Amino acid sequence: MAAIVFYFHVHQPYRIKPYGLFSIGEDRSYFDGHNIDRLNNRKILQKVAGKCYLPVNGILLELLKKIDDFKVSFSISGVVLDQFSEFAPEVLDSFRALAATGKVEFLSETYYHSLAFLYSRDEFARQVEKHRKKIKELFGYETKAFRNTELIYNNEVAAEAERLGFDTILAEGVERYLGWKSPNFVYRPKGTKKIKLLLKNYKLSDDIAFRFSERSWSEWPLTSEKYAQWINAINGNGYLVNLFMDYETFGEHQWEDTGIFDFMRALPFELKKHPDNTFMTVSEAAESFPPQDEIDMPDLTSWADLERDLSAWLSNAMQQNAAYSLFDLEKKVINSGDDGLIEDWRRLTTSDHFYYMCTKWFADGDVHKYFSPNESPYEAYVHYMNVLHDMRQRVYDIKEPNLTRSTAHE
Amino acid sequence: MACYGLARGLAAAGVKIGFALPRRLGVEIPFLQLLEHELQDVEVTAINSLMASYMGVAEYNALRVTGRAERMRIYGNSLLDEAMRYGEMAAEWSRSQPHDIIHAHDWMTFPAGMRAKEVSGKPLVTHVHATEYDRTGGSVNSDIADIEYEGLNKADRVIAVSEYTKNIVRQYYGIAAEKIHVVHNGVNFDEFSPMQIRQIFPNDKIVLYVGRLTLQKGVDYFVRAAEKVLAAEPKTIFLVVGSGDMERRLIMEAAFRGIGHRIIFAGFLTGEKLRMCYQMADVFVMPSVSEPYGLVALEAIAAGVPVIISKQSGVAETLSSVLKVDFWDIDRIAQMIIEVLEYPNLAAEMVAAAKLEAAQMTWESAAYKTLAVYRQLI
Repeated sequence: MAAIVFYFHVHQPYRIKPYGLFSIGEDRSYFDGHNIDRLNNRKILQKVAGKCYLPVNGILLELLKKIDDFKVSFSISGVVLDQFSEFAPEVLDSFRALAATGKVEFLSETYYHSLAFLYSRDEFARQVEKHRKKIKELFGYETKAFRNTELIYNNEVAAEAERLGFDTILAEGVERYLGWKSPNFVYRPKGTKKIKLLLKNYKLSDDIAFRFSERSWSEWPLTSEKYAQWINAINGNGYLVNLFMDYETFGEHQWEDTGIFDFMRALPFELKKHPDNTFMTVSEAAESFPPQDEIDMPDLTSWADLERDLSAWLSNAMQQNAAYSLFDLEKKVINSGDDGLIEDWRRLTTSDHFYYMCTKWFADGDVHKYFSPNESPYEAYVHYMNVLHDMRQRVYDIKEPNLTRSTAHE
Repeated sequence: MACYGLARGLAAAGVKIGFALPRRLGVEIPFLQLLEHELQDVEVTAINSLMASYMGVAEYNALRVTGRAERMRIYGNSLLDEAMRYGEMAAEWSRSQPHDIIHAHDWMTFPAGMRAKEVSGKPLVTHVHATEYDRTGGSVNSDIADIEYEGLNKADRVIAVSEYTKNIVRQYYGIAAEKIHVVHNGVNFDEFSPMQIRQIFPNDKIVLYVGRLTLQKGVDYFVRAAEKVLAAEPKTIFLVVGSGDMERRLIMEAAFRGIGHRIIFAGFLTGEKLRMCYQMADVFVMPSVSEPYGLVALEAIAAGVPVIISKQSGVAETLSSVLKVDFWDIDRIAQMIIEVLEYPNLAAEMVAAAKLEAAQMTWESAAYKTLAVYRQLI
């Protein structure tokens, strides 16, 4: 039999507005770029809510009601949840309606969709905990599975997730580490005792996420019948099919007029035509099958770009300098006890800011350009660094009154 | 900027000036009499062109191809063609302007000056603010250098903005020393005089660079010196004001050297914002590779900022109370920056003395020297 695991990732960053020299020390609303459409977080969120979140949640709700064993899993970043509350509370309600079916799993991740794992294990753990609480508060759901930002993964990430109490972790099915192994089984990460690893079937996932509307693709147009056949073919060659993708695939990356909604509406019914097919959530799949083998991924991988490594966020000097400068402030910010400052700093840990600074100009450059709200990676970097200057002064401002007080006592 | 100051000085001295300014107009408008400008007693006529002062070939090409098809039709195929086309239009315009002297500033307007001279037979003065040699550090565009060579040779007199530039004109363009007159630029002191501002970086010392981000300006030496200064003075901010073809490379280099969090790229600024940058600065550095004059150094002095300037600059001839350094000597530049930051007495002394020197550098005196050149010709 083949268990089909639909896992969707929902995320929007708090984009930084154009932030020049003269904003430093004066303007602390880094994320309210309401004058420029491509940096207006409210507008973007409401647009994506209308094009994707609301209609696709509607489609899934219907499928969950109509098909007994249909199930899906979500990871929803804390920063997008906050933006739902602020800009489009109806989206939260529609996710709650999905949760109420009892057939939806929510996964843990870093609240800020951040690169914290790479720079600070303490901050990483704090952000994971904050996200866990948020999911519990909003959906009454206790998370059991973990996905790191952009499926950034290696043996250490798995060990850390195990240490934090998770039973399952997700990763990209990167061929250079799988070798002959198939992503259609459950595995055990090297160096762990009980956590299980689910690997994205990136061929089948990307057929939907990236190639669905590509007219130059030999399989275009992709019908639900054809796609279901590809999945049926896995029966006998694996236990599960992990279809992991950005939720924004539906309606935002692939627009409604490509037929993606109808495809998704029909696909589960098409899959059910084969008697051996079933649907599982991430944790059900992990519980249902024993680990087939150990997977050793010593180096960091991710689900981004052709390289499936960290190069989308940390390949050039600007990205590395920005990340270093950010985490250089961590202790002072966290110790400040200033909630506003801590929140602003954490929003800057979001991986998207580093993605906007990427200068890889070959094949993936196009994708980066499409997803970047900035004029250029250089501009993204300059504005980001200016915001850090302002933040550095806020840290100073907090420290100074304490100093005067202590000298006054002497 | 310099043309503006000089024109105002000349007008004040009673010279009647008709200015033919390249400027982008609507596609159907060849000429436009500009009524709203700040130059009293000067007539300014815009001639439709995409050229702008200090424009490079790549910049022109980018400007010409972006946008509408008319632009491709009207304007020259290349910056060079455009300078020729502008020259024809300016010469045509000059027929309606009674005049005694033709004064052309830098290579882009040399063809216009030469054509106007053919039309009216009046004497031509070519004014050198920067040569192709300065702009490129020696690897010249030969077409542009040819235009400069022809313009300088056909001119009846050449005005150079410094002895430094006079030497370049002599040495590289073979112009006789007797034909070249040095007229130093002035500075409008009031425009940059100290004022109360918000200190954007209350906890840091500020080292300022102002200028185009090009090879000629040596801004890459500024970034490299910054790295050395920061090793000794970590609480320092390096402020880079300006834009240019090296901008992206510099941003990446600052990040690469791990000092991106200490260098701020503020972009191109003018007016009040530029003035504020001068006010913020604790020291100003002009590391030009080849700088015919270097007005920014005088602006910094007017704002009360101690300055470190390249020896390879015209303004270095006129100032003694500044620190002078070879642009390539990064260690020395860094050392000087640290000295000025560490010794406020030195800084104060430098500013007080430099102000006295710079106060002599007025546009009035530049205008009188220019008039003296005119008088030799008419």
